[in-house]
Parts: sequence; structure tokens; C-alpha cells
Amino acid sequence: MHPSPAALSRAVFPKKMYFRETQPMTLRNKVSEQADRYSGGSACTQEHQLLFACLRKWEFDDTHCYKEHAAFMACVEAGEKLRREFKEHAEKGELGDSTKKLTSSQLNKLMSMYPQADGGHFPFRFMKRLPHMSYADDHFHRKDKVGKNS
Amino acid sequence: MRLRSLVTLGRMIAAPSSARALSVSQPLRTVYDPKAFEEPITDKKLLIQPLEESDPRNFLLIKAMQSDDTPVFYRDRVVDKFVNLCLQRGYKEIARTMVYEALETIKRHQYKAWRKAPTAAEKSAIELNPFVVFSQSIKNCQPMMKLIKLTRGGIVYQVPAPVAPSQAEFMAMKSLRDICREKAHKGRTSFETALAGEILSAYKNEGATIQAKQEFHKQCEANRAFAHYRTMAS
Repeated sequence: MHPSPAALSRAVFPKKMYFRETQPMTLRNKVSEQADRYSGGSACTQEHQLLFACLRKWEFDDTHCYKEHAAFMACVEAGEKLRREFKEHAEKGELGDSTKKLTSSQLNKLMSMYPQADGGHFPFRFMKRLPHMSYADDHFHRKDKVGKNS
Repeated sequence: MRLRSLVTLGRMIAAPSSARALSVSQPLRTVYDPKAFEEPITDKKLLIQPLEESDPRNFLLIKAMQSDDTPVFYRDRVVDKFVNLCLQRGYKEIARTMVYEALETIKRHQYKAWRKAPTAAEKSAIELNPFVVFSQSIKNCQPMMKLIKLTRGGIVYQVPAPVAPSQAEFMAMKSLRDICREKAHKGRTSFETALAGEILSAYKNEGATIQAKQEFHKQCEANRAFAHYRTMAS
């Protein structure tokens, strides 16, 4: 039985795969900006429940619960202050030891201060002639294309 | 042609079926040329002091004073806010007259009580300033928290949340106004009378507005299980 033309044209040796570094194998100096949320701070559940308990005790007459209400509002206010400060710092990208986890803006700030080695820029390998490549050679297969043929 | 276009314009403004109502809450343009007019001085303390020579107000025209800013000795922030809340269709004079009439009624009531009081100690316990009475009753009507809506999984939860002082004040005023309007509905009584009565009872921590506040607190308490949703809702 004769081999088919397709089989004849196939290479007899196993196909060789070569790695080509199309893009430089480095991470970017930037992470995507995200809305930074403050995870700390309490929800003031304890104070809130105490206020509810007081209201229930006095049949929802709040004149007896000013103390509980003040405590609840103080807790809320403290939480709001922390959140505001966090947001302020996060927006500015200020670096400090107040937070455990870096926010995206802080990370970006750090990476802009200490960027990685040149990661190249777009387009990375598109028709880039290296020093050893001659202009006379048709490296990019543009010989038969319209326009510039080098 | 001009008449016709004016009629069309009038129809456009008056048309109830227009998709978007014309907002008149904030003027889009002013009749005052900003280069020719300056703001009037409304602060009485500043009014006494002479202007500097280089002050542009020496050479320019002055805008007419807003009716809110007239320097009267009984100006009160809380009362002014309440007047603005009672405003209907922009008739501020009417709203102001109604509120001040209620305050006058309160003054008369308190003064009568003061005259009837036998001892000096009882007399001193009666508050005669209606503005103080009003602000105290508004304070008494303020709710301690608010309910915010949060939709999760197709269910709308009423989440009890802390309320800022200014919003609590607003809620108290709105509740007071609505109750008085309800009482004065279809001429059962006048708004002024209802308001005076309601303020006096709220001053003593009783009455329909205080009851409404307590009902609201009850509703908040019934929804206390969802209080931890607050961080998601806000």
C-alpha cells in the first residue's frame, strides 16, 4: 500500500518546539486600581443591641436611653473616623505601618519608587531588528508585501 | 408668531404630562449681572463696621436681600428650617406666617400658665420663650436611628442604622409637619392650631409625634436582626 501524499509530505522527525520570549518575562510595575475598603473597625453591634434592650425595657420611650444612644453614636463616630482616615491615606497612597495589608495605591506607589528592570514596552517583538540582523535580509517576510519591503 | 410661541412655551411649562418636570428649586441664571452686583451684608455685626476703601461694594450695586436674611432679632435656625419644610408651592410667606402664628399661640399658652402659677418656683419652671419650646420639642421628636433599605436575594430588608443629628432633626420636623397636616386636613382645624398643640405636647414628651417616633423605634427594634447588614447597606 502506498503512503498518502499528505503522509509523504510530513516530516519524519518529531516536531521541535522552541521557546521564544515574545514579551519580557517580568511582572508589570502596576496593579489595577481597586476601591480600597476598610476591613477593620467594629460594626458597634454590642452598643446597638444595648440600645435596643434599653428601648424595650422602657417601652420605646427614649428619654431613659440617652446614655446608650450616646455610647452607640460615639462608637459609630470612632469607626467613621478610622474609615475616613484609611480612605484618605489610601487615596494618597501614603505608606505607613498603620495597616497590615497594602492597598493597591500604596502598592503602585512602592513599585513606582522601585521599578523592576526594563520590562520593555508594546509592541514587544513586533518587527524588532536586533543588532546582528542585517537590513538586507528579509527577516520579517515583507518581501512581497505592499509598501516598505525591509 | 411671538404670541403663538409664548402660548406653546406656557403649555410646555404647564403641561402635566411632560416627561420631566421643570425644576424650579435652584435658579439656573440670575437677573443680577455678576460684574455689576455684589452680595448684601446680612450679618448685623459686620454691618456696623465701615468698609475698606478698596472694597468693591463701595462702587458696585448691591443685590436685594433674601427674605430669609432680613436682620430680625427672632431669627432662629431650627424655626427657619421648619418653615422651609412647611413650604408649599413656594409660598414662603404663608408658611412663615403659619409657623409664627403657632409660636405666638405657644407664647400665649405659656404666659397664661405662668400667670396662673402660684409660687415663684413653679413660675420659673415654665419656659416662656416659644423658640426654646420649639427647639426642645423638635429635639424630643428626633428618632435615635433610621431604617435603610437593602435588597438581598429579592428581599428588601429594613436595616436599622445610626442617624446623623441633622437628619434626625429633619425626620422629626417632617413627622411633625405631616401629623399637623393630617390633623388640619379638609379644614378640620387650622395648621397653626394643630402645630401649636403638637409642639406643646411634644415639649412635655407626649402627643402624636412622640407616639410616631416610638412606633418607629418599635419598627427598628423588630428589624434588629438585620442590624449587622449595615456595613453592606451603607
